[in-house]
Amino acid sequence: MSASKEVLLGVLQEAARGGDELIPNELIAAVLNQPEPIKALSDHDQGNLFFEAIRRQFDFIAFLKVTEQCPSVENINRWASLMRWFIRELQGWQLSNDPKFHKLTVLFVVSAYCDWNGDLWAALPDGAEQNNDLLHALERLIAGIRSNVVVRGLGSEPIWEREVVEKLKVADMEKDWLTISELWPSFESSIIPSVFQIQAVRCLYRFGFAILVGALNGASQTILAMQFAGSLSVGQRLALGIASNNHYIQFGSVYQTFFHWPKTNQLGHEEQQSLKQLLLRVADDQLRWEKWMHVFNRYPLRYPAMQQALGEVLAITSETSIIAYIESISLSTTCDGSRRSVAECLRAFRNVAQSDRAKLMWKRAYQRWAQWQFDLDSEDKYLLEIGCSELDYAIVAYVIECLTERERDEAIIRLTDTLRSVDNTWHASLSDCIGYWNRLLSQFQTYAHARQSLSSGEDWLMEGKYYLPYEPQNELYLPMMFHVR
Amino acid sequence: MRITSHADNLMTIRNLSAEDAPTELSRLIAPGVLGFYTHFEVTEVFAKQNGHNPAINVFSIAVAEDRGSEAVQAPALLNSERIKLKSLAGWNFGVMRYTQPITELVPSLEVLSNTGEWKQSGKTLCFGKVVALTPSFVPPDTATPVPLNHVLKNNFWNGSHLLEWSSQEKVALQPLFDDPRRLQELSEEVQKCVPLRLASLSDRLGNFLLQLPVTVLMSRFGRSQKNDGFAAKIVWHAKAKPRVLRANCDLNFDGVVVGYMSSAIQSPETLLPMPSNRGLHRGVIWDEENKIILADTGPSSFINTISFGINMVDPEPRVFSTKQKDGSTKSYRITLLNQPIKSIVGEPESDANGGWTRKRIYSDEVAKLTKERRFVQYKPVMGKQQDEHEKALEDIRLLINSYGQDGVWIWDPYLSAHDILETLFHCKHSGAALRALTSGKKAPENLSILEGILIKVRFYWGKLKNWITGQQKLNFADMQRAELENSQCNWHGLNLEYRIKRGTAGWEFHDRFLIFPKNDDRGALAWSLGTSVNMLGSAHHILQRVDDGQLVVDAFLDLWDQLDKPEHLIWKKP
Repeated sequence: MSASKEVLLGVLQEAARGGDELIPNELIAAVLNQPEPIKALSDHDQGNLFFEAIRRQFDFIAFLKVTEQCPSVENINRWASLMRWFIRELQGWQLSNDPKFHKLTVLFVVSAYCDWNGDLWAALPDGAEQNNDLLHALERLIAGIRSNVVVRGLGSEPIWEREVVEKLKVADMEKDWLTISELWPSFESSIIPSVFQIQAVRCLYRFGFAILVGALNGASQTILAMQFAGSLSVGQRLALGIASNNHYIQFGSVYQTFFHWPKTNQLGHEEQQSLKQLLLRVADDQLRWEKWMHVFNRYPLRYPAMQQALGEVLAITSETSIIAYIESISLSTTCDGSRRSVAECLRAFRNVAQSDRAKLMWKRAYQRWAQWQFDLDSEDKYLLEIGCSELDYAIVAYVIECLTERERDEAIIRLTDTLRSVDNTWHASLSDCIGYWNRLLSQFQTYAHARQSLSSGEDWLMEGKYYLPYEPQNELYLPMMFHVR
Repeated sequence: MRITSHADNLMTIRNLSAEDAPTELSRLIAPGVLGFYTHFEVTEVFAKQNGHNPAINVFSIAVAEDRGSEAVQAPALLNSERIKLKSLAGWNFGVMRYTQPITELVPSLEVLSNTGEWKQSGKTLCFGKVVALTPSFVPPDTATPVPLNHVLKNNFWNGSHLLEWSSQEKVALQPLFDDPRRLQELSEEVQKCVPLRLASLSDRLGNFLLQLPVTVLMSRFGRSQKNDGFAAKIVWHAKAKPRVLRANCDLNFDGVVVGYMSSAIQSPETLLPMPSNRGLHRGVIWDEENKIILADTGPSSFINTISFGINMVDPEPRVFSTKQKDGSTKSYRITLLNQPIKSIVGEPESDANGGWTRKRIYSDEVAKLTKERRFVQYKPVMGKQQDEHEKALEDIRLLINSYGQDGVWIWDPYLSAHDILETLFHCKHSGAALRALTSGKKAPENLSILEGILIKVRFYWGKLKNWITGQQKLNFADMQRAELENSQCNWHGLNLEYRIKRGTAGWEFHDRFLIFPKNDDRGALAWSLGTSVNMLGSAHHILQRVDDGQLVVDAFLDLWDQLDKPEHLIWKKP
């Protein structure tokens, strides 16, 4: 736990003991100056004026955020007094007393000023859940939010920007998640959610989760779904995705989670379970699952933290889900690509899956791999060294679990013989010929590694070595012939 | 065939005679001489004429191979359906493939030599009278591609000995010679089954080739580690018994031998020291014992320097539209490239002669190129002038986008805003300096009588209308500006200056040129358009590259610089 969070929890404990209240007068004065306070809070300059007003009265909180230095006892007491006022006002807020949302705006500026990644809302005492007036007002406000992307307001309108916006709108309408995910990096940095929106979502999540789910059920814009998801922690947004029936909210909760997710970090256990539950819900809808796989499984390397949950889901979903999973992977011959991520998914799958289901997965993978043949159909691509594939783990699994020992041996002999007579086949160019040799040698790897794994118990994913159908110390002719490095 | 050795070890080859062939061929295909051949694979391209039997040989090749204990492959057609040519009715073609034991090779060739028939597939393939050609050794493709490799099998490594029987009359194949398109079509169809580029070696049609690839060893000529010459590396086939070989290497530069070394090969890597490494080298491995070549690199070179440029595609396109002759509007969208980031990897070869030799060779190259008279002739067919005009414009745009990275200039007395929209506006190089120079003359048009009358009616109607409404007639420059401004262009990446020759400044000009000023990579280039841009492709003219582009550049600049007063400027962006 960070020092600042510890301080915040201490402040709330102190506030719970009872005592004086401290009113953020400067902030209230600034907000009352605005006829439309929610709109003013969304405006960059006006919003800064509000925060400047509270900072003047409680500057030690901003200082704590920056320095992590514990405030003085006096300041802790002042903060606790502010929190007492905040909690009482929140619990007692009435629309009739605040029809223009001046007070609500003040409350959300205070919460945003005192909040660390939503920690404040999670630590607030119960009470506001009884305030139906507050919860339903927030529900209406959230349900009414719409986003409108416009191309630069000033100067001439760049054609490409206008086209990208149009493309996003069409993709949004058609729930074309793949296109949305491809376009999202162009938009993501320029979309800044409003403070009011973030605080309203966090408030409802804490005190009226079902109302929040209902408010978001009508969402039909990915940008908003991403913003709502971005207002919550990973666990919270996945929970929202599970509870919601809205496709935008479900997609946004997962995509927003992994878009910025550090490649080396793993999800916590609860988050894993939530993700698995959400993926299971999506897998019930075949078409939607295919669309999701095109986004999240085309390049599994982009989503390493997703692999375990995905593997466990594949172990218990339908056969068509497995087919969509295999077909969605973009196969490449590189050995540094997504193969480790796919292997991680398939290890999790193998731990849970029944034998016949596992074989089904391995057979589908083999079919795709055998048809692909290391990019044979790509005319301008030559395989100039031994290639790997994203499906390597599954192919080794296929050789081990779906072939008999005799079939394995026959395959190895067949490949070895073909390798030794590569020059007896007609090739249009030396590059074609070397590509053919390397394609065969690449196929050879999986069979050879399967045999090795069976005898030594090695992991099914071959890493950091190659198998050759000859003794490299004694055989110099073939390496020179086929430019083996 | 006999390959004999003189006292000085030079190889001579004389024509294969019927008497010598069996002996010599038997010697070459003996295990361990060139390889360890167990089979020969035959690929026959044959033709059949309706109602005629047997099949006629179009081209056949037998390749000696090591297939171990593999069973012979029965004859099989590679094309599932017979190949039929659109332009040759009554004929069909097939490609047959099979293997035979190597022991069958000499007897089958004897039959071919004696009878002009090949029967190894079980069916008779007619050659007519055949004559053995001078045997040869075919090196793999290197710096200079070898045409014969278009029809040889996998000749990528040491090279192959080639024996060939020519069907000299080729009467039966005359229809393929009569119309080259037939051969091209056949060649393309055959290549779907086997990489035989028959159309590129039409002189070999009707022949039988026997390819004996050298596989007894694997060899490679490379730079020595210390860069003080060449290194010949060899690896013997596992079944071969190593024997005495000799590596020879010569180095040619500017037509003279600048290095030569011959050395016995006694280890896997043999150093061939050379004082210089400029030019093309050729390495040969000579088998002393059998008096034959075992490898030849052909003229080869190494890559010392690679120059490359990285262009970023501008996400913002250039869009504009032009009015067509029929009154319709045609919209264009040009994807632009930003200026490239150029990089050079490696050290350029030095010229010990202070750079003078390189300059002289460059001049010689230029002189050679100028003799080539590269040109395109446009001969529009009546009624299809517009198609040919579009084609000619596409050619101009191709040139602009190929060479216009650092600027494109058009010099044409009849040039108009419309022509500029159809040409310079298509330049994909963002920010390239585009210049247009006109005399503002009315462009000649290739019109029918009716079109001419219509234009005159429109002209006088316009005059009458202007007189009635009191409107002033726009002058040429105003009309040009109006057309450019009305092109609905976003002007993105456009750097264009449009000038007119008017008044006493400069001089009258008549020729039309497309010019590319010189840049770091090449000298100036210029094309004579042969007609005005407006008339490109519409009437007969020749688009021809000018011998010395710099002279045209100089002349253009001379005039351009004199037309630098405000009255000469029609339009400029930005």
